[in-house]
Amino acid sequence: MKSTSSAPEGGSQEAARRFLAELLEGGALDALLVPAESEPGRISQILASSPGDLGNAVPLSPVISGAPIPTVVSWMAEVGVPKQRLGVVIKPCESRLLVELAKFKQAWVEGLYIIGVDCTGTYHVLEAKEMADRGVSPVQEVIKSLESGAEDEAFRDACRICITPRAPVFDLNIAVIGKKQEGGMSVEIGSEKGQKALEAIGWTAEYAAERQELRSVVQKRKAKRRDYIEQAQEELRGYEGLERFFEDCIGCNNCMEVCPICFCKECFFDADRYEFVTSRFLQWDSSQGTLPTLESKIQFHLGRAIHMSTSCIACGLCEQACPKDIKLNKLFGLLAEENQALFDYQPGMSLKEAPPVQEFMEEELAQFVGSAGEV
Amino acid sequence: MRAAQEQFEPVIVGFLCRWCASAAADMAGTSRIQYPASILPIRVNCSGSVDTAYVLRAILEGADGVFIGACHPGDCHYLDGNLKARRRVAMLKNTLITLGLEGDRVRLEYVGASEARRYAKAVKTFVDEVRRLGPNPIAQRRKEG
Repeated sequence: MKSTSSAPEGGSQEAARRFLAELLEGGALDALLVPAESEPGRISQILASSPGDLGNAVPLSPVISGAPIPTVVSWMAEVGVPKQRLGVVIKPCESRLLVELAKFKQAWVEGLYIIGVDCTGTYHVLEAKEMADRGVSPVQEVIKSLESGAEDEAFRDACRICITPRAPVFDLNIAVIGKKQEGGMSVEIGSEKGQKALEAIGWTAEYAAERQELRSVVQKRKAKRRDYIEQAQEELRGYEGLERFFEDCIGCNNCMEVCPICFCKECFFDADRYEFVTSRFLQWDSSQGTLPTLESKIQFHLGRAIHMSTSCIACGLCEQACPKDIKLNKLFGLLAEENQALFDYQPGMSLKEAPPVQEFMEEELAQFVGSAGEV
Repeated sequence: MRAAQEQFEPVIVGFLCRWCASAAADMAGTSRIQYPASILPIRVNCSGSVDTAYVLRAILEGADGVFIGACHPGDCHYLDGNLKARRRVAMLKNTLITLGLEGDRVRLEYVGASEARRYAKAVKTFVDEVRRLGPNPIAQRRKEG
């Protein structure tokens, strides 16, 4: 009976990879969606159905590459829920995204094995490539941070203010932070389904409990998170702030495309009713003065932010996808914080809580309704 | 200049639910109840169909205020459209305030189909408040820009 992997020489990465291989080998799972490194610094997801497929797998991935795994799961859900027992190896933010998507019926979690991995942060995909070009392995660098619990200053901003180093919802979790002495990792159980999968390969483990190392990671970040949000609010203040912030936007919509929560098949802002920029130019009235293109960008970003804000977990993928390096996570992080506080809701923390846009109370929010008629 | 200030007639975009506020507005008209003509009413099928993006668009394109007339809680023709509207307005106002914009330029009011006087009073009160706020600085900025 094993509870930790016995591969300290390969470190946590190798230990996690062997654990996953055992899950496939032992027949606990039929397939795994897991990040893999095709060449140094280039990481994307693979669907592995035999232990041999896991050669390049990097379960403790240094990046969230392209479409995150929850988005891939929602693509699958479009075709139909597979009958095979599928496991997804995902980071805490991805786990929250998956839970949130499941609430909107864009993904499923029943029958899916959520295998979480501890995370202290990830690099920007381009940073990871540059590191590899310099001869530094991002895969090894991220392990250093994980094993020590310290963070790398080169991590993405979104990661450096993240306060969920462990997934809130999982069936099994690959615990790495603070586990260097125990063979690089240990397994935590999050559900009965997870426990059964573990028993099938002859492992034992405990149900997930509080971990001192996690608490210290969170503690260090709370103040930083507050500062980040305050700074964002300062930067975005007023219409002038928004104009400056979005000045560089080229309207590529990458931020929308990559956002896992932004799942509409047809975008609200792609509809004819928003095809107004050209006509605004044609009807331009010099006495009005006009900046229609910039204004339309602000409408798009702010409109989208309001649509998303109660389910946004500030994963920062919008910011990573921006070709102009606009720090979009500032806007989204700020509005997520404020609008979620309004409903006392934290997205992706549990499957039971309904998102604020799905639930409506007869009596609430009286302070937002005028009472002119009463007086 | 002072005279111009006193004459400021705000542009108010009104989204009126066809089952309540819109009927109340019609009744206010046939009953010859006086209220400011600043409001440009748009009849919608339900206050719940007013996306925050439309309200935002009105404000960003220079409207001085946006008025949303909804049914009283419990009276929605579609059961909970007005409750959805209330959550959306709350989110929008909260967003505007967070970003240092003027949340007070958006107003949600419950107006029953027979409440013509309430409708007139609600519009008048809102117009007075928007007058106090002055012209929408976003529109002003564009004019100067």
